[in-house]
This record gives sequence, structure tokens and C-alpha cells, in this order.
Amino acid sequence: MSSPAITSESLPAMHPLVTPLDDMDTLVATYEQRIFRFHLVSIRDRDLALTLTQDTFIRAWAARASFRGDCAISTWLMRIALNLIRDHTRTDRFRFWKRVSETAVDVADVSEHIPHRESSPEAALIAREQLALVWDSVARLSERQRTIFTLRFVEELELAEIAAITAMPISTVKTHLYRALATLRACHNAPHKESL
Amino acid sequence: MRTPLTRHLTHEQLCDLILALPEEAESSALEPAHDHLRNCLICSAEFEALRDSLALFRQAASSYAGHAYSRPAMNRASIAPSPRFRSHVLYWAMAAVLAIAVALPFSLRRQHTPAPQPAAAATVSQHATESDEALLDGIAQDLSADVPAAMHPLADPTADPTASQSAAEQRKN
Repeated sequence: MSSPAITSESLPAMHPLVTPLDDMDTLVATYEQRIFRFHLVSIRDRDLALTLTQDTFIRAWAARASFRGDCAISTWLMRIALNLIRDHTRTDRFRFWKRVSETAVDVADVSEHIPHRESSPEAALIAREQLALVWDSVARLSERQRTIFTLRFVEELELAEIAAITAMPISTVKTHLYRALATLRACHNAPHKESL
Repeated sequence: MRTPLTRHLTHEQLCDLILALPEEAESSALEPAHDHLRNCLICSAEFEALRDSLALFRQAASSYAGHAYSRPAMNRASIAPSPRFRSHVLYWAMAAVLAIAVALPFSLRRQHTPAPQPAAAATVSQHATESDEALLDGIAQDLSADVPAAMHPLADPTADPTASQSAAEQRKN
């Protein structure tokens, strides 16, 4: 006796995929902006960040069956996003296009978005200088340090969550943050040393 | 236990203060570092500067990302090429028009000139055949003309035996 043929129409009814990732519209609406921000700050290219954001959700959709729910959806998505960034930034093509790209983010563009808490021109100038200093410091970090720095200080994630995303022990995450902050401190103190 | 003021916060202590979440800020593990900050102007100034810079970076990056996210959202719906791409297309179109404008007169001239070519070729070949015939006629006339005396063939020296003997005698002498 032959068994009935499995068709694509019969599969969902036989094995319903009831995961939070099935509702892609809600997923995108909830996390797209956050994933885009992470991509943008990490690779500093608007068009590329958009492409990678789309790719993140495409990959998430394709691999949704493998989501076991042992971590938050945001953590899982961030992990996919981080893998995409790693894949992309390791190519020479990325390094070339980063140099010539028109959509590369410049610190001057970001400076326009400094919150104007103090209206005095001096305060605004100091704020711009501070931002430029951090911007340059982050650019000097290694890929891992930059990722962890972004996850901690832009995404404001806890160390345990960063450890889950990067698949590193918390102590390693902390070490990377110490080193990143050492670079930042060195840049902060350099103008003072020069003035002395 | 208070941290002596003669020693400043170590890098790790300062980092722990910066990395501490708001709810962890008052934890007992960080209390000595907080005590030190209250009494050390140098450490507190550096801590404040670092914290402010990081906050500024977060706010500016988040705001810029929000702006960049909403701006391309409009562009994403549109598949129109970018203005730069359009200007490139315009340049190429202008270059193509110029190339056609330059090449057109030449092609038109070529179309007009080929018509008389067969007639001209025919006349040229006719003239050539005529001149060839005249040349051949001239050669035939020259050949049929009387040969000058100087051009007459010499007498065969073997035909006269006396002549040969005299020549042998000359060699002997």
C-alpha cells in the first residue's frame, strides 16, 4: 500500500510552524529599526546597512524553524546581523567600496543629530569635538571590540546578552570593553597631554 | 573601606563604573569607587567626561540612524535611479548624439558617391585598353621596320676555314 505523496500544501497542515518568527510583518516592524541602527553604526554605510538589514530578516525567515526559543528574538536577530557583518567586512570588495562609497557615514552628518541641550555655541562646539573623538576612537578599534562596544554603548545591552550574541564568555566581553575604553581614554587624554 | 586618595582609580575600576547599569550603580561592589569619585576631582572629571562622551555618541548615533532609516524608507519604495546615475545617462546620451552628428555627413556622402563609380571604372578600363592597343601597334610597327646596318647579325666565323687558320697562326705567334 503506497503512502500518500507529501505536497507543499499538505506540509503546513501536518506540521504547523507556530513560532513568533512566523509573523514576519510584526517581526520587521518591531526590530527593523534596531537592526538597521546596529548595522549602520557597525559598518557606517547607509545603503549597505539597509541591504544587510533586509538580509538579516531574509535569513531569519529562512532559518526560523531552527529558532528554539532559548534566547530572546532580538538576541537571535542580532546574532544573524553580526554574522552578516562579519561575512561582509572580511571581503576586499567591502574595503574597496567603503573607500569610494558615496553613502558612507561621515561624522559631520552624525554631528547634526547631537541633542541641543545647551544652546551656547561653545557648548555645541565642545559636543561636536567630543563626538568626533569617540567616532574616531571607535574607528580605531578592532572588529570585535567595535561590535561589543556598539552593542554595549549604542544598543545598551547587558554583558550577558552581548556574550550570548557574540558567543563569548562574559569575561572576554568585559576584556574587550576594557580595551575599547582604554583606546577611548587615550584619545580623550591626548589633547590634554599636547596642551601641557 | 575607603580608597586612598593618593591613588587614583585603576582603569578597570573606572570601566566598571562606566559599564555599570543604572540599577547596579549603587551596588556594594562599586561603593569604594563611588567614594573615591566623591573625593577625587581628577577621577571624577575623567569619569564625567567619558560618560558624557559615550552618552553623546549613543544619542547622536541613534538619532542619525533613526533619520537615515526613515529617509531611505521613502527611497526604498522608488526604483528610480539616483540623480548621479541619471546625469551619467544624460552625458552618454549627449555623447551618442554628437557621435551620430559627426558620423552622419560621412555616411551620406558615401551613399551619394558610389553611383558614378562603375561608369568611371568602365571609362578608365576603356582608356587603358585603347592605350594598350596603340602601344602594341607601335611595337609591331617598330618590329616590321628595316633593321639598321649596324644591327645586322654578325657573320658566322666557323663558316670560313681560312679565317680559322689565320686565327691559329696568330695564337702560335
